[in-house]
Amino acid sequence: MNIGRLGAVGGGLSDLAAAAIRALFANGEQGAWYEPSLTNGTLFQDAEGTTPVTAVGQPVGLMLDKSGRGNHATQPTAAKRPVIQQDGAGKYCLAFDGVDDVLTMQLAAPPGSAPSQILIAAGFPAGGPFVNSGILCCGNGTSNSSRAVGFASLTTTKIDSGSNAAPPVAFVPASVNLFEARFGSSVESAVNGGAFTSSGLATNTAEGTYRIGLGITGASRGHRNYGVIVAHAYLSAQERLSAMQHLANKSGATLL
Amino acid sequence: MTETIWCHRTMIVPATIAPQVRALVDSFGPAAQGMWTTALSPTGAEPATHYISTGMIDRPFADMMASPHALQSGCAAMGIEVPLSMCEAILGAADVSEEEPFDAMARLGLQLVQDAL
Repeated sequence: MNIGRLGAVGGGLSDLAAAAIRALFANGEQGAWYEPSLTNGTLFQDAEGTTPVTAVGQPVGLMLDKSGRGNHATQPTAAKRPVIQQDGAGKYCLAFDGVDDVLTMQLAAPPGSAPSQILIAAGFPAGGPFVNSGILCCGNGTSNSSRAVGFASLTTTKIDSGSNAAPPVAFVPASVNLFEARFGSSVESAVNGGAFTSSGLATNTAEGTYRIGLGITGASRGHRNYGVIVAHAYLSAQERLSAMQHLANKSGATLL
Repeated sequence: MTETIWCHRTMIVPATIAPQVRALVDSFGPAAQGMWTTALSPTGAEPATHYISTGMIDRPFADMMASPHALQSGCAAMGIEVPLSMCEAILGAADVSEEEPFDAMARLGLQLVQDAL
């Protein structure tokens, strides 16, 4: 099944997929859902939410959580705010400078040792991401109490929880990719809807601070973030399909 | 509501004066607090020789870095008394540009300090 093609149909199917994502959090389940855009009213230039983002090129100091859980992502320091952009295909994204840009979100209920599943649609400049860099991490910023979505090389993932890492999965850095991470009874990695690789070892406990734009040890060079879904549970096959379909439609990622 | 005019700046300061620069700029307000936390060095290994802050800052802040006198008068407008000699020392040692961060780092022969995963 080519869910990338389904996602590209847009409109109705995307609306159904969005409804399915909302359903992930409908009963108070913990998590977050971010979708940078100029059209959905979720972006503000300042961390206090007083000045809406109205044009590409403006910094983003507050990105509202669409899950309904209120886990909004903020950046009080002006120079550390990512910037809203539109890519060559007209898709909205947050451009992180790869130096110090980061949005931080504090989950009311930290993941602890509970399972979590993270989906991120991201693109890179020519040459791909930095080796040993990341685009999202959760925890206290040290490798022993974190969960991170990063890169072991210019073309392979490193989804890890300290020294416990899923076998790397290849991706094409010139394209927008949909990265998936699962943490729980194992650390798992998948790209663009493919099969998960598994570490086979249970993940470490993690604290509840999420950093969007940074890995454990550093940021990924100038990457673009098209959307993030964090769920403190494993998604069912149908939920996963809907979430990927929606992110693919929003980002232009081509699913397997 | 006055619209904020944003300016992109890349600001690199030697590690020796980074604490002094942070302390001064932190007093400008919440949006200026927490800058210069990303370490740089010629090899990418510790110890850090410089710190970088890069991104969008508001126009008044950008204008203050145009010269020591502009920095001093900008501080004075916020009620912060700073000797001109201190402004000269900071801007004499700092590298402030409109360049993209990795271009400025390359020009200065600096890399991000990053540990292996």
